[in-house]
Amino acid sequence: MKPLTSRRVVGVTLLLALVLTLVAVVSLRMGAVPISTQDVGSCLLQAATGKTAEMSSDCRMIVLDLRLPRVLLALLVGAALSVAGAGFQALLRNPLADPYVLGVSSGAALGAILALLVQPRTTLGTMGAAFAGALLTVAAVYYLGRRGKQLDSYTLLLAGVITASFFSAVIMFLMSSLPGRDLRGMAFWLMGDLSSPLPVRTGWLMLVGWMTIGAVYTTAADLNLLAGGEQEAMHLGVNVGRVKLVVYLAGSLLTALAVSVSGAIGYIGLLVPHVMRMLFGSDYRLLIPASALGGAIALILADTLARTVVAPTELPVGAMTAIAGAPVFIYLLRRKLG
Amino acid sequence: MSAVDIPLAGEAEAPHTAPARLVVEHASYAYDPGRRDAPQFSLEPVSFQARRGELVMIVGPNASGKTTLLKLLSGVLRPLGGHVELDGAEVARLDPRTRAQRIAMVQQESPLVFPVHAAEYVLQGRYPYSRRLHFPKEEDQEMAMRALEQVGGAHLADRWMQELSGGEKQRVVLARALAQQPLLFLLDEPTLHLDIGGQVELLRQLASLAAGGHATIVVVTHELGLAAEFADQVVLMQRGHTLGVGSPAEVLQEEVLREVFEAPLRVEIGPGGRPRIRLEVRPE
Repeated sequence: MKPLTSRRVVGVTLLLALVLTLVAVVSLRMGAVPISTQDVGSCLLQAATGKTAEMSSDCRMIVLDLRLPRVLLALLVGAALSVAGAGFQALLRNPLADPYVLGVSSGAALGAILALLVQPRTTLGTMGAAFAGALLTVAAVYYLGRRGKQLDSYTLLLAGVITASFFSAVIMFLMSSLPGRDLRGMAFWLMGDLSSPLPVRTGWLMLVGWMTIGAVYTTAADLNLLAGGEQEAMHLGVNVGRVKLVVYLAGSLLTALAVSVSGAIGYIGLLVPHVMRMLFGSDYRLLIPASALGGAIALILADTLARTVVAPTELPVGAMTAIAGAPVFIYLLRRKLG
Repeated sequence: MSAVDIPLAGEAEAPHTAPARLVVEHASYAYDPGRRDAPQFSLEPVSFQARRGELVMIVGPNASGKTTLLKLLSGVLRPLGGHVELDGAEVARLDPRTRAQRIAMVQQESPLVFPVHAAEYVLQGRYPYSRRLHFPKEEDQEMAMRALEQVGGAHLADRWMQELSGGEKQRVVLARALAQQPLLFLLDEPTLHLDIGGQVELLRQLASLAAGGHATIVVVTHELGLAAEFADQVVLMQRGHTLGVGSPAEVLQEEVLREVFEAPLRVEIGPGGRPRIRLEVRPE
């Protein structure tokens, strides 16, 4: 067995970045109006070099205005949810933990909806409320999931499921007070939807998202030890309190960011880290970049399917990830139960 | 096994003339009575000293405070009274990394959630010496392999930890502690999942490591026979009180053991002057 080297981390990251680029190009091509790879390439080149006058209408209206923002959003949301899932899995020492299963996505959604009802036009307020909702949910589920001094896997999952179902009931109650035209949009968003116009500039979201993922990455070596138990990590010199704080805050922020722009998309945070573990091993120094890029790839693929399988009708992307994710989750749970 | 393969910090003087490395002076602790998950007892002031090269074994019935004392020695708990010093520095005040460079703790087994190779596991012992992302240097890898060899576990390097037997796992866990190059080894019931052969082998390794003269070793155990045979010093505890500190022959006295463990124990002195403890159960 060879220990993990920085060279291998860079190699795998570059490989996955290449796959991500290919998947993104395929996604930009596909849709109600097919566009050739060459046209997609030249369109992106023209946009990058600022040659807007030479752009075709397909390039401007379909590739740049419709598909590219969606691909970028899927990239960010997929990466955010996967890294949050990988982080929660190490902290809670539970391979079945992810923002959706733990109810953190529902907590963020409830926070966002409350903010929207109170003050519909403040994006930062919505994101802040989603962050507060996510943070409170993590704390509540962590507290409820303990039995005695130990964090019990099944109690934790049960706590997450019950918290999510409670928040869903509150969300339903709040939504029943909405007028009909708002209701459909909100229901679609809740199921996980990447088609809504973005409330803030993608550039800002990208910056905050990738910086937060970077913050989680600084704790990668600590997470390897934390996955072996808090006491063990402490005896090996890990500043457990600091690492837990960084990962809980970052995981909640990433979930809040994802939920506030795309609703509650399930299973990405659970399954992508699992698949990456199977492919590249459990070491968090590789798992975090692999999960970020793998999550981006998975969600772009899911969204491409969501908008093409029954075109011109679009499915919520959350429905696509749940259809694929739920059976795999049951398989993993049964395997864990032995 | 050679006990001196891995150089440990702190050298020179012969162990028996050296000043005490570990000084425990009137250290006491009480858990918060308001916390439901905390043990409901307090550790009364305990004092003892251990030199470099000494093997100290803490014995006593369940709930006597052995593990709490070990946590005070490790610096995870800060004594409410008194102090615990390692080479003159109060352990609870050391920052986590420095503490991990000086003290290695081998705890009762906690299950691993994600698969990890034995060699990777041992490399974790180099974490306190590494920079943030801890990509191991060549010397770290050599150190980890030497630690595995030292406990007779070189052949386990490529095996998954989850697949190892209790005895094999214990070797790897000990190798990780060795890779930390500590001054003080603390082991909490390390023989728990081992058969009698494994228990004796582990204690031989620890005794040999201590005899190498570099490290001080403190072991919490329920195995009175092993403590009698291998310890340089025994600390006997009951319900948070320290009943005796001294050589096995001084502390492990028949009357005291019978009373403390409420069992018909018989103590005889063996040829080497060490006590031999056996259970004397007459058929009814």
